Amino acid sequence: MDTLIDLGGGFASALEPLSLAFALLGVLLGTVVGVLPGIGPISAIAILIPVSFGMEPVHGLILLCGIYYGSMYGGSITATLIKTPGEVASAVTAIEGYEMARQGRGKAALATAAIGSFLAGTLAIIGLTFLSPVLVKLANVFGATEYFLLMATALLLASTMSSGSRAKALISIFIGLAVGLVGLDFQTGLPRQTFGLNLLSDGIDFTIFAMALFAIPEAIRNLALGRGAKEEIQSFGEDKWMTKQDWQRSTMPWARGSVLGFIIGILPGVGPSLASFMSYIMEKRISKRKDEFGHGAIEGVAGPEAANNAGVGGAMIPLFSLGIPGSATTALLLFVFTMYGLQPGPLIFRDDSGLIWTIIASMYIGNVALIILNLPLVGVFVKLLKMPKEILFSSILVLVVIGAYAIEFSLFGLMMLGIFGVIGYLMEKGGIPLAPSILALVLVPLLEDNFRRMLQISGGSFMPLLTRPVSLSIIVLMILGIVGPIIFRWWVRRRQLLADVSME
Amino acid sequence: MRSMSPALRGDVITGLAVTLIGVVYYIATFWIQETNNIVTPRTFPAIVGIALIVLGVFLVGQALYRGRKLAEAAPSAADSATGRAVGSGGEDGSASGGASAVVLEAPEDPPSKKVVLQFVLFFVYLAILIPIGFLLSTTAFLMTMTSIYAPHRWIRNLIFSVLFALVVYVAFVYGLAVYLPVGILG
Amino acid sequence: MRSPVITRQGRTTSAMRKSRALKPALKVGAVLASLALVATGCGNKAQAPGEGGDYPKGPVTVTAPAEPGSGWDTTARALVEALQKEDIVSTPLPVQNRPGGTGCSWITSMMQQEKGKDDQIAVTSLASQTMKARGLCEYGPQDTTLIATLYVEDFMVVTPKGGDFSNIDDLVKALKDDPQKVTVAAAGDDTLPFALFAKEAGVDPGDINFVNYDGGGEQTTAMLNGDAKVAIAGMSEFRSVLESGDIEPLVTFAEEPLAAPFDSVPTAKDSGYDVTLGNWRGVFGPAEMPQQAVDYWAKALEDVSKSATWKDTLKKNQWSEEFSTGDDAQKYVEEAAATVEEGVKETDLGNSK
Repeated sequence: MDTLIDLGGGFASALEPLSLAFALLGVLLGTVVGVLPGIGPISAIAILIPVSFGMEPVHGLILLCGIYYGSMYGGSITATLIKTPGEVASAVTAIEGYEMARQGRGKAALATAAIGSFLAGTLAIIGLTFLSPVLVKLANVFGATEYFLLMATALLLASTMSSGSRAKALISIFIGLAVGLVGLDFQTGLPRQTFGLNLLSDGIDFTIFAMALFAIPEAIRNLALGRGAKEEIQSFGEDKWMTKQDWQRSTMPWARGSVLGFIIGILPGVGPSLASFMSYIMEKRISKRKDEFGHGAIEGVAGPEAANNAGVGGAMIPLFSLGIPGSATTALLLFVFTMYGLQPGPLIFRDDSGLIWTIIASMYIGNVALIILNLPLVGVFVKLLKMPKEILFSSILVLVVIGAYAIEFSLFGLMMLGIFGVIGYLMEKGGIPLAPSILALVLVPLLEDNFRRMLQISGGSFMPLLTRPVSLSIIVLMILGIVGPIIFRWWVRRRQLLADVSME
Repeated sequence: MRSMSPALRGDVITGLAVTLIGVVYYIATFWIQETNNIVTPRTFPAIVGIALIVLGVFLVGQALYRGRKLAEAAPSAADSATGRAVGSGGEDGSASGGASAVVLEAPEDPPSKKVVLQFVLFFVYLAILIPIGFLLSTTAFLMTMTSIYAPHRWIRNLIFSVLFALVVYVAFVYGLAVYLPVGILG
Repeated sequence: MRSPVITRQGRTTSAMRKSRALKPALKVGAVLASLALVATGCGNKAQAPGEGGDYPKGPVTVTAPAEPGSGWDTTARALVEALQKEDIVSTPLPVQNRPGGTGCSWITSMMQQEKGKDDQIAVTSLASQTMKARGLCEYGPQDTTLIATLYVEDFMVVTPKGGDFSNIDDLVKALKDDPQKVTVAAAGDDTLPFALFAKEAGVDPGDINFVNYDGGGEQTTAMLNGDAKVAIAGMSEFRSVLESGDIEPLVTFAEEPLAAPFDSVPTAKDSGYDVTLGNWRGVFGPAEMPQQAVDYWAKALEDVSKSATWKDTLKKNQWSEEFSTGDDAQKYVEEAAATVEEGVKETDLGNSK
């Protein structure tokens, strides 16, 4: 009950006109900034920190939280409409979202993303409000061994993300791993696979890689189809709102994505990006319409978008209850808190209780603001696709280039963009799916670091995999997941066989 | 090889390319300094290199094996077995006309020459962006790209190119304090 | 453990092999680099230096040579904020991020491309000295036009409350018994002070079981889930979790005892282990920066270091003031460089487990 009273107090101050205005402004700024490729939530917050320092702590923090939410959603707008993911978490949305947009279902895709984000975001904050003390313990049972297992499982599952040849999906994964290992080794600081180029020592930036792989081949192909083939170019049909069927098909993915995203978000270091990928894989695995995946399945937008936003809420739990930032963005938020003289952690609920509840309340409000602002704008954004193709796709190329420049500020970054654009084009031509390699690039540091930590801690022994209860449970579940369906299929076939026999 | 379907020939080429990348990647791991750690900085890259080689070889082998099996079978069966690739590789316009309502056909392949041209133009843009500056190079790039496509609408193209470059420049530099290259205008 | 001498030779030879085999790649790199040189040359409007006392005439770029949100970035932004809030500098001070090779890329640019300019300053720290000491970067902060040192973030060793160690002697004893069992969570080069400490305590630094984590958050989680027994990092990394009481400090490598509420934490020196090393942060300018500009910034930074805004920032982040300019700053940084170089040599940093 105390929680409700505190929350009520929070709402009272968050609903003050000025606080409300800052929540809306933050969401709006965040959306606009998130739409621009290469400017993700981290850069958005970092750039706007000086602005917020001039304000009251409450207002500054409300503004920054709004920017965080807004920029997460902004990233999925470009991912859906022009296949240009602005940051990690929206890369998955580019797969099904863009296919939907091509078929004239862009409105439905953006709507399911917005509604899913809203629902999941709200659910996550409710979880944050009431379940923090319990859930924070989850972070403490996950050691290096469990993380390694989790990453390895995610990668194995990633090969099922695409339809078609399993070998080619594996090739895609290993290409992602290969790219991800370039640069200074995290543990020893030694250069790896840099081919003697100092420029490569920082590795390949994820956003540049994702933009290059997704956006550039698509834009170049459309531009090259060019003259003469005008009518044959994909016609983005009449755009329809979400149909009744769309609603039905989105509901469960929203729910599943929220829960999954929230739980994965709590784990420090993993965060929303893995949540959205895992949600996509899960939706595809359990869907009855597996064939539609890769061709605009709405589940593939609804689930990941919900997971992504729920992950953001989940990531706040270790921050607020332990003072541990779970991601780069929350680390930045931690710095902002510190600059305001606040110390996130259990004590903040005692020492600055009024403020922290105001912030939590403003997250609810930020979520509402997000959907109020964005649902009407969906129609406007979709209109962008009606632009003549040559203008649309050449603008995309320019935006992607600015994005790459804003990340690396160098010719080298630009050249990486171009080179991976070519590689992406060739991969598509060779039938190698692109999405698994993007997930692999995200996961490889987590996979490798935790593998090395596990063996470093155990002195070279693999035994922790079997002796730690949580890790053993994951292994058992994995085996059940692989063996279970086989036994089930065998059982079904046997019954059919028996039925056939008895019929004769 | 000559009797193979385009899809299988593509797989052979892809497989060979992946193998080659794997070999280069694996060789590059020899320059990683070894350490006394249990898992050294070289371990993972080496695994990845070997895996790429194995997968590449597997893809080639699989394609050759299927090719031989198909050659033994009736030639007509070959088309249906590799339906997806034939659909995407075919350049006849009739394919897109018959696209089903629910699932779009995979987008058709544009002529390679044009793709190469587009990529070359893109790389030229990347190369001149910093020395020439954002405004001039972007205007030129947009003008070129749109005019290759629709030369008769050059006035519209010019207005669009200049406006787009200006608006984006102002938004980034003044709105976000992300300083785009000034180049020769500076 | 391999001897450091062999390791270093190994590195040189491998570097030579690399350059021979990859000449074409290097050529491409050289072309790219020269293009970048032209680019930055055009991009920056360098001021004509030394015309009366009207410096600075235009904006001065403050570079954080790392990603937004990193330690260098937050230092740069907090500094600019204080400079402008206190009206010490009136010209615009855009903060730019130029990440690359733990600051190596930008230090190199400041030594070469930006040479002689007066409209650039940047943030640097101990980490860049380690890069140089390990042979991973050509230049260190001591080679640049050092303008000032700002503050020091002291290193601290922490352990879970109610864990195996209640004081520094327990830790040393456990290290001597079986160093493999004492997993030490450390981020990158933060292993250096702990290795020096181990050496002082009579334990071979090569035997310390360092486990690599990225920052205080991950380190704390690792201690709470039992993966790590102790952790070392700059103390601001642990501030929030120390206050929550889940972990407690064992020892700090600060010169003087820390400010309250950590004034009871023993320093290594007082406990009989002669290790003092702090992660200092400072500001530097391009090589051959005009003297007028150097003087201007030394004065400006001195003013800001006395300001209420900056003092407040230091206090909030548990940064201890270590302000010096001119020869004092140079001397401080060179001493730190010497410690780092010696430490890297003696502890075989990063090349052993």
